[in-house]
Amino acid sequence: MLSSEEIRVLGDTVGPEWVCTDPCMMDTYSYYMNPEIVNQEGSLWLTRPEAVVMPANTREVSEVVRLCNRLNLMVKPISTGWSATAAASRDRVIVLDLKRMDRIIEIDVKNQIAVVEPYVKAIILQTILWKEGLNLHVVSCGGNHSPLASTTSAWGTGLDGPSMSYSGRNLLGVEWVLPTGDVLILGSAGEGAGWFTADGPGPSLRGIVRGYQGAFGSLGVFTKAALKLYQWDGPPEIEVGGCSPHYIIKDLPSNIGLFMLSFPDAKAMVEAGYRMGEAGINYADFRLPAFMCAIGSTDDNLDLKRIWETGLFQKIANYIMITAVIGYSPREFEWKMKAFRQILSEVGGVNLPINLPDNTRVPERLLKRIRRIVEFIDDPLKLLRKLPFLQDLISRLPINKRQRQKNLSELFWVMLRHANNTQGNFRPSQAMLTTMGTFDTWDLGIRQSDWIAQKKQEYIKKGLFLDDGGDLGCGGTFEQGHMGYLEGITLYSSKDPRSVEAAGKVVEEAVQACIDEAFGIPIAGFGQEMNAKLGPHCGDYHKWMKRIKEALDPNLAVDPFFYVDPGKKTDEDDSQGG
Amino acid sequence: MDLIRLKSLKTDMEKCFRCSLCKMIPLPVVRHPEFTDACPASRLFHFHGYSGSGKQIMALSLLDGRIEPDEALARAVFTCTACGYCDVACKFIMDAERHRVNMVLREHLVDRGLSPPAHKKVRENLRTYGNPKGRPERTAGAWAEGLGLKVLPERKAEVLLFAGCVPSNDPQSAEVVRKLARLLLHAGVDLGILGDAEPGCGLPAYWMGDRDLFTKMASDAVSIFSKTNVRTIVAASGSCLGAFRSKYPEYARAPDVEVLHATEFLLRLISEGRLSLPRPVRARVTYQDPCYLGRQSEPYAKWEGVERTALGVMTYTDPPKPVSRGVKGVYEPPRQILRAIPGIEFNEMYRIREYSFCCGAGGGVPAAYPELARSAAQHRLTEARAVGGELLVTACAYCEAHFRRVQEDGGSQKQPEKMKVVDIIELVYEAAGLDG
Repeated sequence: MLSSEEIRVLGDTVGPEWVCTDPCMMDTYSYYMNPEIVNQEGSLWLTRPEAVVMPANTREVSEVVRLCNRLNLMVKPISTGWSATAAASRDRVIVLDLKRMDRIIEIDVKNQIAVVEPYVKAIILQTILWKEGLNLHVVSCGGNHSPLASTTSAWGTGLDGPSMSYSGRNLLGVEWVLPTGDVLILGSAGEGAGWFTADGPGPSLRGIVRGYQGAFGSLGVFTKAALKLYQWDGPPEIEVGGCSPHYIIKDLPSNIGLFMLSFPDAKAMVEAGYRMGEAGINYADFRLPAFMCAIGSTDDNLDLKRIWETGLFQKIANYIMITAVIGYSPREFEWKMKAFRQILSEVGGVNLPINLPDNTRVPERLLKRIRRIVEFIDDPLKLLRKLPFLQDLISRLPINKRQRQKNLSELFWVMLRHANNTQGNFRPSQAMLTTMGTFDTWDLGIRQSDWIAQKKQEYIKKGLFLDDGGDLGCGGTFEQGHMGYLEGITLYSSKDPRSVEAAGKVVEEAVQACIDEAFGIPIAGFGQEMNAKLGPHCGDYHKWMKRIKEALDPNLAVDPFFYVDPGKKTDEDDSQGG
Repeated sequence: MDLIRLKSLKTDMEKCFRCSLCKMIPLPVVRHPEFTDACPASRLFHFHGYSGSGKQIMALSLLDGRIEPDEALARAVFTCTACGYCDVACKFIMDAERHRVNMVLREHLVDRGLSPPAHKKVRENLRTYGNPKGRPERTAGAWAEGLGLKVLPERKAEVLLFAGCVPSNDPQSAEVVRKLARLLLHAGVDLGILGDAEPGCGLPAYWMGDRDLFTKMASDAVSIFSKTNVRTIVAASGSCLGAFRSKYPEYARAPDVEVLHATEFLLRLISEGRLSLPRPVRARVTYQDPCYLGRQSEPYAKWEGVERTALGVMTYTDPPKPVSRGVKGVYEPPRQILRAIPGIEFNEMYRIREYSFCCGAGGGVPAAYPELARSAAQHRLTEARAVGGELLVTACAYCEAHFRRVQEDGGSQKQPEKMKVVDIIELVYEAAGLDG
């Protein structure tokens, strides 16, 4: 508990109304996504912070951090705060909630750079940028995330990866309140030369700021970040009709194509991803597993159950990639579409007609019939695959205009506006975790996805995970197909201790598999214990992390949660000489 | 006090995974960077506990025995305009009750004696006078003086005009109801009122978490309505309509006759050719969707069923639980009326319909936390100006009076030029040519 004197000095720094210690309010900062896996006893509650402090600017952040050094406190900075990495890890931690720091400092249209504070949300920046013919990379958790946090402190890839890479690649400089309270501006902006590069003059610190995974706020507070922007050839804004939960775009510009592609197998899907990337066709893409297609086709879980049990999605949607194609000009769009069709035909992909009747609210009797028919057909899309012209023909039929517009809208929201993303995955079982997934090659992603799909089956059979068929590997290509990413999602129940225990176990098994199968550093492989496991197989990076933390944070004034606590030893440290 | 009602909503609370989407309008409809916030309290006070998500987490913490009901919790819970937007936001992706948790949490705190002091006074006023302001300046039926309206139930009529409590203390609001009555008479409607016997709709008691009082007021009102034998009740204010259509069935019982808002009834008269709007009204207008005419007037649908499990750990409800996403509120009638008035240039704001931004008048906030009430209204007025509106039209006595008062009081901040705020009935009255 903070002393009244400590509360007073914090209040003097940021204003007393921006310091809160009420237990009820503190508990809203000890409850995040996936806490039960982090807590060994399965509790939903993480450590309650001593206080939450809301600074308004860099000076206040710096002063609070200096105070923490002096008062033997730690800060834990958060921006939009969703996952358990935003929590405090121990007593005497004060959360720096950066919600009041929400200014867009600068948008340099000519040089394609935006400088933002921590609480600027992607959707807000994107709304402004589209009007300027620019766009930013948005990670797959959706448009309400903080691009500063994602770019500087966490890892993330999004559906627009083919054209805008992943978050860590788009950092062009930071203003950084170090764990000592000193303020450092990194890269060209530090020399007053503008925010065009995070590297130099002198050695680049970008690897230290975030490395591969990001430090999750453990290396201080990033109060400004410069983000690389990209050309946007889509509309400056989009007119929207409809209502919740289906907002409908009124007109899709003719230079945008949104597609749902079904491939006969993983190999064909991988090949298509590579080829489209190499040809520069795909603006955005995403491998949508069958069960996620089913989630997206329904508004409630009963409907989801009914359509999943027909077996139809398992037959036609096992290897689905949603893809966006955007042309700068009509000619470019025409060329891209020609190449797109050719690649699709060569790899045996089917452009699924999206104007077919909705799956939901189909009478039970009909669903049973569908189930019986599906049982006897191995490849319901065979005819469309053999006769590609049929795909276009059906798509052009003037039927179900409303359905077509609804589906087009969903594709638009997911791929281009990032408006209906990860959150939807929580609907079936209220808990979701991820395991595999590395920034590597696209086909390695498929191997990871296969591994986790098989592993999950053990738990699905015991009724501990949602029976999604096992394969919930989702992700896409990025950097024109040079890289790819598939994340192994698991849907479990946070209310069933056995399910929670299984979830924790599958994470550990996935990380071990990454070592055994040389899968790379997975998304679930963060935090001190995991890094200590993976580090010896990857240049002992965990030891460097420790040195970095010790050097930058001599008084341990910033919470090391999910990074490295120099004072804490792991089993691996002991066995390998730390 | 027991926690039974709160416990029954624990599953809903646990469905919050703190994505914070309840703080902003649904992402597909974001159009202007300045107007994306959706929760007035979260916008002003920022700490997570003030958001819809925060209240779910605090309720869960209370059930888990981690916190005790105290003044800090009460402040976080009651600094909320009860606009219900967080419920709409969450149901864009989840099937979890948010608004209901917020309201039951209020009720629990009231049971524990933790109501804000200002609310205690208001509730006492409701109990004693049926009016949140206390003894009204004028009697409930005073607004109708000189109109020669039939007073029910002594006399009979097809339609009951329910004026609401605001006109008793607010002459401008009284004038609006008079105009509505004149419009209805002009259209040949067989109209009656309850006069001085008109009961309060009780919505402020609901807002302030006084479950017993609201239930009693609702039951009393429905009994009075039953005695009138009318075919239709027309509510002048959006707030009353939300109470009748959505909250009465939940807490007491639904009125056993058709209940319409003035805009719904006026639109019916226009479509039937019984009311015409020939006179142009030259104005650039924008429209404020009142929360209790919009998302909070969605008819209550009782659900009795069980939660089942399929596919291992997936939960679903059997029979399917109706999900109130707030989209079945009264949105089109006021808009159709505005479009039917010649001369009006109507521009929508950036946050409309189910994702409209609350004016700050609800939840008992003006009485207990005027700073929040003022901030919400000023922010909304800024948005109205941003779309070029010179006239802000609404359809709720609470919204209209609140916008007006906020602009009159001003508060500590420097205020831009005042914007005229009117109830839509005034425009209809003018367009019908009844103002001479």
